[in-house]
Amino acid sequence: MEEAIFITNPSGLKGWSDRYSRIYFGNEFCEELIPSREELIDVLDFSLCNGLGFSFVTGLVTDAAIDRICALLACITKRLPGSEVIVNDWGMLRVARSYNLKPIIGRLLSKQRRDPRILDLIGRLPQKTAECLRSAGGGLYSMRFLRKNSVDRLEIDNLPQGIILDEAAISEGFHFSLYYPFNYLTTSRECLFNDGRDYYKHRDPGGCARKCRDNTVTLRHPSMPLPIYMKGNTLFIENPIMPGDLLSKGIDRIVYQPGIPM
Amino acid sequence: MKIVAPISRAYEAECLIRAGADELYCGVYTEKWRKTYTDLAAPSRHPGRSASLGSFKELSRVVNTAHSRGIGVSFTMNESYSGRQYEFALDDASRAIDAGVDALIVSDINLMLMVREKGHKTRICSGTGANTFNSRTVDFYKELGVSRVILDRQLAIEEIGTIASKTSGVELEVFILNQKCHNIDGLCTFAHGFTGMKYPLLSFLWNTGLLKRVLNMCAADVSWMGKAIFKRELGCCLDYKISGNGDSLVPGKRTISSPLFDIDRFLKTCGACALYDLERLNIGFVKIVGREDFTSKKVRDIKFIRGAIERLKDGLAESAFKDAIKAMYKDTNHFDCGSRFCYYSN
Repeated sequence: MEEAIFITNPSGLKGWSDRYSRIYFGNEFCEELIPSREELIDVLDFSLCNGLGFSFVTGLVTDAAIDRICALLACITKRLPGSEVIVNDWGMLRVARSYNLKPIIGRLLSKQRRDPRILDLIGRLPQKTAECLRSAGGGLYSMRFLRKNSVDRLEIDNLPQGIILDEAAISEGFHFSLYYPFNYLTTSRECLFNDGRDYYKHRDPGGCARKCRDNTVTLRHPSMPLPIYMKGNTLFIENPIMPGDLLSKGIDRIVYQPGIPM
Repeated sequence: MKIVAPISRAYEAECLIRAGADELYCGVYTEKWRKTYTDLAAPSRHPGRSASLGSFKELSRVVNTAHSRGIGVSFTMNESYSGRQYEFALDDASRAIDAGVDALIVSDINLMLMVREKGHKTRICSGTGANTFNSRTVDFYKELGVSRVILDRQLAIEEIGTIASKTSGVELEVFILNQKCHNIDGLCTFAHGFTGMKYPLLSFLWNTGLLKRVLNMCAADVSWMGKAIFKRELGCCLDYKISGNGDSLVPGKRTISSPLFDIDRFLKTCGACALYDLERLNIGFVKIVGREDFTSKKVRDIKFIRGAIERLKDGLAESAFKDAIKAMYKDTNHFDCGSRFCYYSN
């Protein structure tokens, strides 16, 4: 089992230990949190010095963000060729390949059903419904399409209601990475940490203050069996219970998030 | 610029077309699907009965009426599916094609590929659940055989402009009225469809539509019914208790229902002023949301947007056009528009 640590800024390197053979670095949810070139180089150099694999995490992106990311991808290709790019926007698939980096399909594209309320109902639902709500992966035709596009790994969240990996993905030989312990729940371009304003419409001249880096809000409601954590524009839940027998399920990488990845 | 309007009952077709719709879109939610998968794994993110047609026979009637008036119909399958559900989804797509629809609105790439693999030549539009935020994603879907891309509702006008300037050979569609979700459609994993299981009486009243119709005939405001459902059904509308070191960052503090997801705003969002910009960006299609709305509201919405598009022909300067549209909005809705309700405010 390969273990990776997911950090969103270079200070997270302090949490690294030799059990982790790979570093995930970047942000999935907010363009304001795309790392700078300097931050990227710090993490690349650390990976290089310690002989670690490197996976650059990208999110849902606009054209402006793609331009910034391309400059970072060029830097990765130069220093650590063959590294992975976690693709969470279909538009990034070709971009990653054009830099000779290995595309991995991220958890934003896994379309898992993450609503915590499912946990309370799952035992009462018809079997087929329960299967849908536990499923991860995307069907035979998309798996074949991804294979043709040099993809052989899919990333998923650790659903509290259990996970059923897509049979087509397994039969096509895909590998799975499991994010642990935080699952993303939903995300927006309207950031409540930015006075509830649409960040893309009301950017401060000085840029985002990145209040999400230091602050977390916890949301509780009687109908939600788990607390929800809000950081910036995104909501998360935590599931610290790891499913048993990961390897037999087809999961061969754990992506450990030491904190909520914002 | 063409208006793409929602329809959820066959009898609506004639009056929606008369009001000025250029295209219609709809879904079908069959008893078979409901029994097998329940509302929690419905074919679209609108599991309410009033949001979809009840059968493919009804879809045929919509298509026949629309085609007799030269109007196209798109069939919506805007959910992500899994496992054995794909066979159901493909079966629905095939039946819709047999009914004569002109296009499928699909968000799931596996279903797009399945439809093509089965030899169907029907046009495919990528739905808002397909998360198109940039021109590379437009190219991606174009390569999958998509002929129209529906852009995400959280894009700003400038970002739409960039996409339009960098893409060709594919139609672009944007949202213009109603229901701007706080969360990104294709990335929100809050489930819809809890009400039927947790609040069966409320769900029954909502789905039969009888109470709504009676109250509507008395000209009563029925938006409270929608709100009652939303505040129980949608994870983003619940009255959460907030705690943590960042609670001062969140307006409202005790509950987030208002600041996180303003239901009034959700129901009333409007982008009509932006028609001025969208025309200059050569956006060909504008979508009105609200499949589950009353026919009278659908007609009102179409007439409003049709009127706004007609005003473009007057050649007004930008500010004069926007002032005219704001006045039209007030005439139509009996309240002022404001940035709170704006799809594309700057």
